[in-house]
Amino acid sequence: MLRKTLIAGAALTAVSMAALSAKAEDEGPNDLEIAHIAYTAGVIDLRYAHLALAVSDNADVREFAGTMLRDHQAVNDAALALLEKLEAAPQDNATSQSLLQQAADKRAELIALEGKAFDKAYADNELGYHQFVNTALAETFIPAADNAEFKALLGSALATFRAHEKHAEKLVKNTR
Amino acid sequence: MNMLDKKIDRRRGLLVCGLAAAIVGQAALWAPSALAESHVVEIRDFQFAPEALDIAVGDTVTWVNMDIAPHTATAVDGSWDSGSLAQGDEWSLVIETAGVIDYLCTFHPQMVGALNVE
Ligand SMILES: [Cu+2]
Repeated sequence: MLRKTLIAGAALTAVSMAALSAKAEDEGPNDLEIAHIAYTAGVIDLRYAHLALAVSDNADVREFAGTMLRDHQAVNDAALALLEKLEAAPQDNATSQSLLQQAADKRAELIALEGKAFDKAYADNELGYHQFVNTALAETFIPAADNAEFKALLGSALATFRAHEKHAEKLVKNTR
Repeated sequence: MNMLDKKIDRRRGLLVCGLAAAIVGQAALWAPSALAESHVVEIRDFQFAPEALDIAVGDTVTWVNMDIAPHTATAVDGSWDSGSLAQGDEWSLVIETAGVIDYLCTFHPQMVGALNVE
């Protein structure tokens, strides 16, 4: 009888521990959602860059946009290559969707502008966007990532986007 | 020792002489480059490492891009340019003139480096 109670108690503890760890994993997005968000964030900046190259004649803006195309494409390619290696597929989620919606609104705003007004608005948006993405990566997504290789890739992406943020600060000054 | 053996022996001697001459000749040719050194500049986290490098005329510098983003190593005066280096790519240059050579990444002009050539 006593033995049975002990076993039942042990089983109960095991169940509650499993529940705990499941809860811990549920906090924040999983790696496949983070991958989708990071990839989407890259696609959004690629779209802004294409828009800038179509609209702007400013040499600094065009040079910056060219760098965004090259770098975000390289980061997204690296992310896809890693996902393929891990045989994983990115998972769509509410954060990705809301990023896309915000970007569509901002794009509509930018398209209505031209000349210096466009250049300034593009530069301001690039600075704000990279600040936002970098904070999210550093404070939320990198700490939440589980797979070591994926975490390292996000770290390299962050180094890239931090350089973009500094570059954007200069662009903001140059388009004043 | 019969005739045939002697012949072979002489040939061997000639061969050894020839080899020795060849080695001496090549050593003479190699002498300058034996003093020349090879240096590696890693491009990592949007920085050239080391950012300043002391080298001698005749040395070889190899830039290796460790970042995901493509970079270049390009002389500020435009005299040389690696072109786009993707992750893992490397590019080498033999430095032939003395002086301070400033270079940068044309994609990210805030990335700068220098070669101090004696
Ligand atoms: Cu660069």
